[in-house]
Amino acid sequence: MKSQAATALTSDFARREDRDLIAACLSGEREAWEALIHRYQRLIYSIPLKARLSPDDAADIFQSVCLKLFEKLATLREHDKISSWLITTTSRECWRVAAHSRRESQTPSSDDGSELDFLSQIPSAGLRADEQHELLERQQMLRDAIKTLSERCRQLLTMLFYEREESSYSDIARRMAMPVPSVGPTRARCLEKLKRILQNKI
Amino acid sequence: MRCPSFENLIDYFDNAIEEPDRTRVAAHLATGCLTCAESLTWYERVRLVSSSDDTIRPPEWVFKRAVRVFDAVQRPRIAERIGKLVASLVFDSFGSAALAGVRSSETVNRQLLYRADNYNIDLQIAPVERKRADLVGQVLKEGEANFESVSGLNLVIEQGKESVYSAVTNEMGEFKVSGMKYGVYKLRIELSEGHITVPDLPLVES
Repeated sequence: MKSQAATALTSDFARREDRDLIAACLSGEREAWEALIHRYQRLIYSIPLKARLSPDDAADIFQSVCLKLFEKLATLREHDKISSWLITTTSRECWRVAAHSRRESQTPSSDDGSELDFLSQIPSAGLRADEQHELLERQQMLRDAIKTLSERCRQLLTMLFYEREESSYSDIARRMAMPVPSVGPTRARCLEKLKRILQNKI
Repeated sequence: MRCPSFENLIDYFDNAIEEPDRTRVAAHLATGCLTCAESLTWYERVRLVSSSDDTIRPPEWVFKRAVRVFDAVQRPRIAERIGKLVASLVFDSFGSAALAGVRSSETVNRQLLYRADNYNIDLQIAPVERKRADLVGQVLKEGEANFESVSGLNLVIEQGKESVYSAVTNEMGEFKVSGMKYGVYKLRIELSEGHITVPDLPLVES
């Protein structure tokens, strides 16, 4: 059986815009749905974990948000920012699950808050809900943009930006089978492409 | 003064530039070049956004389960194959006589095995405190080794006409509902081909 990375990254669906993927989903193309879920999987799954819900709750929330996404595909077709809709929907689901757990444990809290400011409960440098929402959108935007680059650029920028262990240029050169002096210029070219794709935004 | 290359600019930001290029870039930025300042700000934001990104991928089974939402909705006709089935009890550990010489303990788990079509539903009722029990179970399809049809199934537990608990099976068809109140319930397992009902699920004191 193919892994999610194998199916969604090698498929041309992975490079399509959200609205193309939605249209393909609505016309019954399963791969488009898979690519859409693959694109937003980190975003959806990480919100409950950031809000300190359990991995089991995060898995259930992931499923229920995907169901809602599927049900809403027709109305989201013209939506420019699926990520924004997903952040709001996932936050509401987190709030619902957290509120249900509080009721089950019969420990009412005076600080229940509401679904609208649930994101502010994510312990991330004291960001307000709207700031947290914006940061999540930017993280998604950057990852999406990197995915549209060539394989070489994608690999290089992933090593530079997302690997927890910082890699030296000699490590990168070895892993990418390129001369050490080429790493810097290649990085600059990839970043210039990324800047163009993002149209200076981020 | 001519703008430094983009590579020099980002190296300057990353402290990865040697003299005399470093001094040259610093002198250029000091002139207030808006183009270079904008490039540096953009790069700084990219670094900030990427370094704050601690999102993680869900486990493979969670991803696959969500992908199967498509199949469940797109293929409703398959439902006609099974439709609504009522599971029959084929084994109840409380229904068999205790072995001679074996003393019963105060709280004993009860095991129930149900069958419907080619599905087996293995349930275990484990009493916990305050007249409550955990319901642990596994749905299995005969002859299927990879659990493809039994992972990610929605389970609804009803009492009367009200849904009181719910669960979703994991990648091996297993599920758990914790702290259910004692009572008699109806368990509904929603398959892509229809649904199976366990009509009188007894969560009662042993």
